[in-house]
Amino acid sequence: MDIIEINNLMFRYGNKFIYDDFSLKIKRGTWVTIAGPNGAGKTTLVKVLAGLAKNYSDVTIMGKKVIKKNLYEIRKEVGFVFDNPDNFFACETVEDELAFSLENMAVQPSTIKKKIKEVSELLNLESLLKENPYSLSGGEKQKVALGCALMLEPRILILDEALMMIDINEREKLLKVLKEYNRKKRVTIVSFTHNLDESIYSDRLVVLNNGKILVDGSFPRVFDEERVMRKIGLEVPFTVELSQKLRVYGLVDDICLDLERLVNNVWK
Amino acid sequence: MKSNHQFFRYVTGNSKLHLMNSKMKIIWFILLIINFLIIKDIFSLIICLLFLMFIILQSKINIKIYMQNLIRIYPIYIIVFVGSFLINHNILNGFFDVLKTILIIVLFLVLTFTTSLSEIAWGIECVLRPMEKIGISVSNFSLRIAFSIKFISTLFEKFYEVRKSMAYRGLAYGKNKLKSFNRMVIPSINLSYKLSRQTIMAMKLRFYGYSKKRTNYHENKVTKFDKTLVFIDIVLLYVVIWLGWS
Repeated sequence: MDIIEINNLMFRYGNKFIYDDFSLKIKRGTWVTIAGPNGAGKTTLVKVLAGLAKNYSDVTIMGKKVIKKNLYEIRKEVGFVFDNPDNFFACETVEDELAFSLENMAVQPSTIKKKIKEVSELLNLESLLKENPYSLSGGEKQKVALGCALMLEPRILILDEALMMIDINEREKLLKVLKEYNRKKRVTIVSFTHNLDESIYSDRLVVLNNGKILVDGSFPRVFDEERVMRKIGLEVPFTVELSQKLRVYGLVDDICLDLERLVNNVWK
Repeated sequence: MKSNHQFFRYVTGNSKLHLMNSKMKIIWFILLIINFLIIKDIFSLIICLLFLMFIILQSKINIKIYMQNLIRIYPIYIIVFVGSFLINHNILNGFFDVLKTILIIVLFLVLTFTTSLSEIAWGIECVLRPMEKIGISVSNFSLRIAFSIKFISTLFEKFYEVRKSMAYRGLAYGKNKLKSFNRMVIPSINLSYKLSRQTIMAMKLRFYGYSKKRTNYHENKVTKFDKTLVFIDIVLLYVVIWLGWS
């Protein structure tokens, strides 16, 4: 079943069309990465999904049209994480920040406390709870913003370049946590990025450029279109590049996204 | 601790002031503001100043942070002094009003340094709750006040960002302050406008104004210290009226 449906999206800034007759469907419980270079229209698409951009289209989330009267109902089920967490923060401690949305929804304090414990354990935020979110590093800020989204126990998680400021090791850990979350709770994840390294745990990759879908496919087959991705300035993950080269020499049979598995395949 | 701590930004801490109950703190704050506003004589001013110094010590926040913030807004004192002098034609009155202004600003700093925004909002909401009976959405109103306070500190930060970026591009602020200030005004306004739009967007996504009532998940209990401070406020109010108005 499609949890997100965008039909014939038309959107423009002034006279410039960002999207013209764009359609996309996303299935429940999947992790879809939407990648594209700067100016491809990723953030506009996030705004359309959040109901923050006026557009002429038929956008449906969980069977509800994204129109003013449905916005609160939809936003209760969708967690958003943006590229610049500073603009998202409203409070002076990480703990307050995590609680803020639920306090606004008049959720009981005992429930909020329980959820803060769960989320801070999941994202390893326990030591930061009393810190001021503005004084944290870029990566920590993005983790807090992600925590705020997870506090709502969303059915859909939309990440707009949300892992951009996190260092490689931490990002890898976080991607694994998100994959587990996606698998266990059947949460649909839509991640917008220009870094294809972040896509390796996804089920599907959609590559955008100038408001059009250039590539759309599941892993790892989608990387057969590697040339198209390179042409618009996207770098394919190292493991993909390596396994493609090894395939030429007959050392592996297929593209491998996981480095450990790739090494094992070569070793065999 | 950050030495260049920004205006009206919460400083993480564990002092008695940090742990005050939000409702009691707002009541204490309002009473003390009234005290400062009605001061008419030098003795009351000295008593209030001593009390405020005690409060600053209780906050366990480096006094340098208070001083830096007070110095940063020196144009306000000049405006108050000139305004007071023009109205009263008396230099001493001008100094007196400047001192009163400093007391009020320090009190605001104490409140915002030791209270997180959500606690300020909650405190205001608790104090104003009776107004709900006449149909006023107290929750929304109190959050708006809290965000206005946050916006002031953010504006200061943005102004310093613009100042820095201008300096990198060769515009020295120190040489011709008025001229360089003019060049900073438009970018600062632009940045603030952008920031306010982003804040509105974030608040929409975070259910601001969704429910008529909010909850507060970690309200501090009322302690003897809270009650004592409010009691001292009432005593001070009596003293200020007795010394200055009788």
